[in-house]
Amino acid sequence: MEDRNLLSCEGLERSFRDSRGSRLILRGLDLSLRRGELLCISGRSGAGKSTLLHCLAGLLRPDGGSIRFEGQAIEKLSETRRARLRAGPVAVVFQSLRLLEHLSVAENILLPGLFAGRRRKADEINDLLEELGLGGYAEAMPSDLSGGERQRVSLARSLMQEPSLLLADEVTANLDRETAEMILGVFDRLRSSGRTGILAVTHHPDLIGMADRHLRMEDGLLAEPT
Amino acid sequence: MRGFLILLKMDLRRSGGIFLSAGLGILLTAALLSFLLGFYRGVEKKVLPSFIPLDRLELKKVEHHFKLGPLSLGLGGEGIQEKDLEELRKMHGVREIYPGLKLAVPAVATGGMGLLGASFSTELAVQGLDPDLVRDDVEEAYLFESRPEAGERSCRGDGDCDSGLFCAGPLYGEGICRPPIPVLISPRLMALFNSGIRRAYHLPRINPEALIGLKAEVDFGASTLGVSGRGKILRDYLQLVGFSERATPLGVSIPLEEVRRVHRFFGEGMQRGYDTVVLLFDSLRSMTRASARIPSMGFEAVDDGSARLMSALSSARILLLLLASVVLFISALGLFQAFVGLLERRREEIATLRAVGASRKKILALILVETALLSFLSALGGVFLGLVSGRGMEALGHKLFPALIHGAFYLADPATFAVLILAIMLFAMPASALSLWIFLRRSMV
Ligand SMILES: Nc1ncnc2c1ncn2[C@@H]1O[C@H](COP(=O)(O)OP(=O)(O)OP(=O)(O)O)[C@@H](O)[C@H]1O
Ligand SMILES: [Mg+2]
Repeated sequence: MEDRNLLSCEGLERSFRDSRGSRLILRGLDLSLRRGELLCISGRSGAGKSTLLHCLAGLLRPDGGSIRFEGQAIEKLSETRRARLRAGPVAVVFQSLRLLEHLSVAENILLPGLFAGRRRKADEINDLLEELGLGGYAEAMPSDLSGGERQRVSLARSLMQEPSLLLADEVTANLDRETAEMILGVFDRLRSSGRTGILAVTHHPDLIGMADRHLRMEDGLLAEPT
Repeated sequence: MRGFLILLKMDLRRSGGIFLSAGLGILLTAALLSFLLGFYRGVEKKVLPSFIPLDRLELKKVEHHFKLGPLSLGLGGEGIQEKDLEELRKMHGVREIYPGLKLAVPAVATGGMGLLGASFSTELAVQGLDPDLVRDDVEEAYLFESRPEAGERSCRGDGDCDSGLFCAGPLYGEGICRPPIPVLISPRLMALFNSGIRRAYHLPRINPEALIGLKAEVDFGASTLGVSGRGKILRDYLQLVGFSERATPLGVSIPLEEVRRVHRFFGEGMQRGYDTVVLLFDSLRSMTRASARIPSMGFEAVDDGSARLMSALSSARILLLLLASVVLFISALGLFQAFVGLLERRREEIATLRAVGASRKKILALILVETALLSFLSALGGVFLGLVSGRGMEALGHKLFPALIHGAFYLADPATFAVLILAIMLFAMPASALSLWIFLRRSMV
């Protein structure tokens, strides 16, 4: 049964210490995701959704619990091994649109490949950009792009990794209907391929509507929405 | 590795804006340090040695006095003998040694009308030197020799003598026509005159070359306070024939035999030896080491002011060192702040790199290579800026105070500056590594 899960976590705990003292954000959270599954997570702001995604991506070390990706315990891997996962099978699209401003669109998209040691042809990038409605943008600089265009470039960067796990944090926020639908289409295609599991933090009704499962984050735990 | 190089290349292609303030901080620090360092080296290596003989020690025999009421009995008055000189010569680090004899009676020189526009009287410290030791320092066309004992002819005034000769002898008595006594003075004395004394008396600057051949009247046995207790005065003439490092730094040097002649006239110390001996050392260090042994050999330093100057110098060194540590501490803090600031501004960038699969090690390597480049180029620029402003200050100093400041006093020593650049780089690397570590620890990604 473990084999069917691409990603699973048990009893995940994480707290943050700041001026207000130590606050437990994730309180023993359980989660599982299969290949070809689209799981949507929603919850109020500050509930800990991004924190969860950062833990799953190996960017944040959980205080307790375990995360298994393709059978291996992420929290036990070395930092270098975890970084290598992010350059390859684990792709993250962040809520804050992370592009390197001094690199062109194409170079930004090539970045994970650089760390994974993969080479990509220019055709592949152009096809991908075409599909996301960004044809001809390869040499553009991020500063010349609109918010929606930047959003799609960072999605393109993740897709370029041909990930088996896509962690997407509010990718459709602040997008017009048409662009949002384009991204929904990409997610749908990715899911249909059956190779990729998608975990999307979102409040977009259409995206939630097409999800295989929908969970709400509350009090540091995931629950079925009421 | 290949990926890293591509990343580095892409990273360096950006506009330098983000590096600007950190680079500027390094540049200014390097400029300040090289500016101060150049002056420190200049003062230490050029300015101070021209005033203070840092490798020269003048010694005399320790005299043992028994004070019995009004009666004072001097022992060991035999002066410095050949065997003493032999012993001193054997001391470690002694480069050269030359004995001298101090004139035991006061002397007042009067002259300077032609040169300074006013006649100028001064009490003179006179030292007798062995002419063989200073032969090379005497200007051509002049001699540094004691004059023949027998004079040309007797006289009662300079008018009785041929041109070039003067009437030397007891004041108001009968003299003999003679050439003037040749005089050597120390170049340090010139430097001292041109920098300080001259201004105090509102005198014009003196070009040392113009002084050669200058004559002055001298009254042995006289003092500027009046006639000394000896009751008689011996009038003679002095003529400057050259500058010598071996000349006494506070007074004038004349041939040894001339001092003995004056002593004979006044019936003073008939001793045959010398009363002072000057040791020249290889370095300040060997001099410091040797001076510890000197008392045990029966000698003591003649206080010509250099001992006091040396202790003043060492306090000045301590002060400079203190100042340097404060400057260094502040610069180190500033540099560190620059790197923290730089990383703070690159926060998003580093987070993104981490998100797309750069390990901490790769990021650290990237930051270190960029820090090395940035600090090298900025420090190089800073050193250049410091050098230019140091040279500028030097030129300005020469222009504004041509009388006070002369010669180079900003030392642009390439080795020192290379060490400075290296030190800044060596500081920059761990500083930026540390700020990255702090940054990664408290950031979410
Ligand atoms: N690095 C950090 N240090 C301290 N507190 C943090 C840190 N990161 C997140 N937090 C806190 O943890 C809580 C959850 O943050 P998180 O970003 O996971 O919320 P979220 O559910 O993604 O919210 P939103 O919907 O607004 O994006 C917040 O209260 C936040 O202030
Ligand atoms: Mg969030």
